[in-house]
Amino acid sequence: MLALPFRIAVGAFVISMLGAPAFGQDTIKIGIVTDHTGNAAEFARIEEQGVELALGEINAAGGMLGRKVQLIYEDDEDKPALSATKVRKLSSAGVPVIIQLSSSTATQQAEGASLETKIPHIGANQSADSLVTKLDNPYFFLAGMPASIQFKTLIAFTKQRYKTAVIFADTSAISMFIAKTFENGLKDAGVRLLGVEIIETGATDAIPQVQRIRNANPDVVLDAGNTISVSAAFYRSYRQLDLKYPIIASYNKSLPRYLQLVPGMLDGVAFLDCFDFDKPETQGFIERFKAQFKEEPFSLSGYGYNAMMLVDNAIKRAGSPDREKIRAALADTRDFKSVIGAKEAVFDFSADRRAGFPDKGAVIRLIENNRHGKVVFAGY
Amino acid sequence: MRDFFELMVSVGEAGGIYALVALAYLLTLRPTGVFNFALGEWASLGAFLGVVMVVDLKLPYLLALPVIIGTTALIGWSAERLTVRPLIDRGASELAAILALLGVMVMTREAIIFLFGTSNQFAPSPLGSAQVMLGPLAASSQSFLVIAAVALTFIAAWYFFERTVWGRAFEAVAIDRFAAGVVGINIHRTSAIAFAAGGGIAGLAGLLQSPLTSATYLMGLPLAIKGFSALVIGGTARVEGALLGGLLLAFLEKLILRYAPIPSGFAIGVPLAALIVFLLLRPGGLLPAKRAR
Repeated sequence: MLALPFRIAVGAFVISMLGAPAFGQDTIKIGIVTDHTGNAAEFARIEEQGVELALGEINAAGGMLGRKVQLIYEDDEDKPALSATKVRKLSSAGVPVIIQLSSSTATQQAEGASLETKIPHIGANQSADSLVTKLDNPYFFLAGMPASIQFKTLIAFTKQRYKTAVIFADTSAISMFIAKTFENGLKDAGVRLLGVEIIETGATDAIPQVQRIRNANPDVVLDAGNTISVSAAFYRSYRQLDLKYPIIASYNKSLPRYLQLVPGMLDGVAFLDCFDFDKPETQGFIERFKAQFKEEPFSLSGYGYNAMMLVDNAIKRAGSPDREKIRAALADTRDFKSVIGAKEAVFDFSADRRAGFPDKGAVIRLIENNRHGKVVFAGY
Repeated sequence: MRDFFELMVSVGEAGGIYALVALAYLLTLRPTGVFNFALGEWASLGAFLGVVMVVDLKLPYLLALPVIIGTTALIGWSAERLTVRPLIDRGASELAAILALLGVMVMTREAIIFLFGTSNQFAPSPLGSAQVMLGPLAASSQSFLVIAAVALTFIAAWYFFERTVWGRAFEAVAIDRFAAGVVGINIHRTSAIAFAAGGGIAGLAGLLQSPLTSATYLMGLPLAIKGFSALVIGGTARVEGALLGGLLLAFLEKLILRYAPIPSGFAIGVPLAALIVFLLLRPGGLLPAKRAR
């Protein structure tokens, strides 16, 4: 358990200590702001696999502009202030573009630094819409699935099937935000909310809350949980009391960790995701990923891969590692076929849209036999 | 009635874990007068050691158990030797020792993050995930294991304090540290053993909780708060108080969450509000100190 993070940290340290200019004659070095030790490390490590896969493919195809590509990792520990510092550091090192894999909160702060240093900055996985609305930063591009699209999809799926619902949430700020957004969405969709059950961080079980759900007898339970240990306690209690109401979960339940922590207990849960097995690009990605890592990829790896491929696409169109040219090329990205997003969906940053994820690109999948299974709904 | 029986198992499970942490507080508090808030993190460490021993090293649970408890006990013993004892010997106030232990708490948490990372870890129950029926009571096997382990621990603690010379020595140091030293009781050794026992019991609490919620570096603080609340409710004078306090706190929590006609978000805060009212009415806790024998 110690070995992998330690190796990654040492590797990142050694690479960052090299101190060489970020693009010399033979290489182009891409900056990666990631999280190896903070709260986002859970998903950042998985995304890095996607980045590494893309790196291998790009180099095997001749690199970018005829040069080999290398990565410079910086660990921001998912701390906002540190994140901005890391963007400045990478900018000073001369990288032409930065990909960020940490959380929305850290990325929001880092955005100020990319605007200040005028460096193209791609948020690979983040979901906060505010990343492209709060700050008018023409250098920042959001490749993650915006929360607004996620909620529209979840509510559309719920409205199509159910008339009453209960929401489960925990006391974390993100979970409360998701629960509130669910609440507003259900109201607008005409789905009657029978209750919001909140479980505190540190609870050993959720028996009272699950009993209240049983008492409310809803058509469906919407899972807004974000704290992993609380969600584990909730699902254990839910299965213990043998409740059968269907559960629809936010994107949080796409984290593979749940399949290990509460094995089998999420079977039947419908969760929001961005991976569609029917998409040829996704199928190809899965095969190549399995060949390299000897394991099934999750959608999180797709985010890392997608961001790296967006950079490759932009640099090739820019014809130069010049930051302004790359920024312009990124801003002009359209009809980009990605490994993430629903079957027909394509990425588009043109027309002043700095969030490139396709509007109807989110999908709802089922957890089957303790695996992320088939897509049952797409778009909204 | 079904709801009530389900809740009672939940109370036994949660209250038992709170009671273990309260007992760990009590053990370190009695001979030294110091509240050791690092206990929550030691519980967290116990949970991660369980993952390493049982999942990674595949040791049988019964073999891993003494190793885990022994390791957290050793950490408790070291904390006493390196922080509490030097301060008390130099005449520092109890507040200085509490502050030093807060430092130990932060260091322990950072060490856990460094060694095990921030990801939640799967901690299996030694009895599997099967449902068990005991008369009208139905719950997971882990819930019943927690209740049984807590009962055994408290019986052992009660026996130690009531029936052994060492237990009497503990009580003597708790009542008057100086006088106990005068009559030949080794105060240093008593304090060290108290911290070791507190560390061991905290480790056991974390180990028992982890199959219910997973092992996470975030589990220490809530456990420290709940255990402390249980200690205050039960009183700091007797072992039975820790058990009573833990169960009463969990009983209040679960019943309010289940039956109070308010949203569960508000209900979460009600037990703590009740705790304030309780302290105003009975500041010494439920169980007073026994008279000197």
